Amino acid sequence: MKPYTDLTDGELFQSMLAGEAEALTALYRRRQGGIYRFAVQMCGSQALAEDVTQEVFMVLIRDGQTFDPTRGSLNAFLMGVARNLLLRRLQRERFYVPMEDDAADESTTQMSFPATGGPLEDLSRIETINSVRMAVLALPERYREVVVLCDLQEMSYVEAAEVLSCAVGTIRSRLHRARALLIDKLRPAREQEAASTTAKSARCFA
Amino acid sequence: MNCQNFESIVNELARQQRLQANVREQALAHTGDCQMCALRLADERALTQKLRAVSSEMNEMEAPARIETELLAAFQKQELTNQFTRRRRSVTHDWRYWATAAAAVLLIVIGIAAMRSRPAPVAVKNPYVPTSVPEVAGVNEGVQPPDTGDEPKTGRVPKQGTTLASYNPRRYVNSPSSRNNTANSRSEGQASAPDRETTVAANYAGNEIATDFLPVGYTSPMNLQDGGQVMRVELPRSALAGFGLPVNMDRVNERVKADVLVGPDGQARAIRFVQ
Repeated sequence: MKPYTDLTDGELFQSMLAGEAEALTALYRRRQGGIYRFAVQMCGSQALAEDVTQEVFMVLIRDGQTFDPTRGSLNAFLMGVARNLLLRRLQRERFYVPMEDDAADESTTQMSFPATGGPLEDLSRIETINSVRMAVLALPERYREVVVLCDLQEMSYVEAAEVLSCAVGTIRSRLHRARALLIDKLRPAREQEAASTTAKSARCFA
Repeated sequence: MNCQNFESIVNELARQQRLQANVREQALAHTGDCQMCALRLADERALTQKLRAVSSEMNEMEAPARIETELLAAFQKQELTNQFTRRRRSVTHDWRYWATAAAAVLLIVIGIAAMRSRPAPVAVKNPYVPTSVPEVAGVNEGVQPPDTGDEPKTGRVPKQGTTLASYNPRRYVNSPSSRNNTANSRSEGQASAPDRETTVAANYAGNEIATDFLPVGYTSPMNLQDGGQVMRVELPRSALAGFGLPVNMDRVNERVKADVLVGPDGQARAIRFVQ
């Protein structure tokens, strides 16, 4: 018998349904990272991402029979479940405002990244990463999810379309729009001022 | 390539996605000619670089190990529940199977027993004087319209020994002694089964042939339950037409016999024609 690490997702899933705990472990270890990162990149909260990751696999354990292999891969199914759970949680928590003490402790905005070079270089890199993360989190949900899937998770358009249950063309157009928004958000303030001045003067001379 | 075409593929170009070689060359050539598109491509490439930096920084992030432990515990608990449910379902299934089979066998036995214990039909030997209100067409039975001939459609008296079950109960023949009987015992409502049997038997008695009782005028059928008397009268044959019965025009001047049911108020309620 092949070791669990060599089995495909579908084979692991079938073994899991047959009651093999090792299959669930192998499947979890293989797919939890992507789901957790997707959740963190979508909501910015590690606590919420942990909840969602756990709930996704709980859904697989409880209602695994609902997965239809003919409609897409197991990974797309899990990501789709994660996305639905996340959107539901975000919808529910939209009305809550964190208290100041909690907000200071919250890991949504600042994350610690390992140092790789000199202090100045690290500082600049971390600042850039945080600004990009904040810009992504500030996008509307339908744009954020395509940026996370296609750019951060490096999925193809087809895979992203499976996760989001929409057409490939929709993914392309949303990604195009999302990247344009991100470029605007990440443009330095001085450049933005210059760009607006140029636009104004262009309009005057036109 | 123009700026619009370039805009449609600038994402793929910046993200180094698969593009046709000639399209890529044309797009890159366009950036040499168009400064705006060159800037656009530079912005896109810078963004791609930043996003990849974020992606690579977060690539090692994983859910905490406690989630795996909790999931495994939940899975084992679920499996135990599933096994219990499966076992219980199979036991329940067996029990239902045998119960259904037993019920089916019981039903068959009861059915056979009921068929065997069915009482034999009673033979009519003596005519009996009816004491009840005769059945009236439109109340208990429908009128039996004649299909041929000039006489009203009637039944015939069954022979001695003929069973009621083999006789059409919608046709009546009265014995002469039954004509003037007070017809109020049926109005009491709940005639028992033996009474009903003897009444029907009495209707077949005698040697006259009669139609069903036909309501006269707009009498409510409920009024017939008030009782009354049956009187033998003679009417011109043309009176048959008034009740929708066929009349033989050759014998239109002859008279026909009829029994009229007269209510307590002295008004005719129903009529039947007798031959």
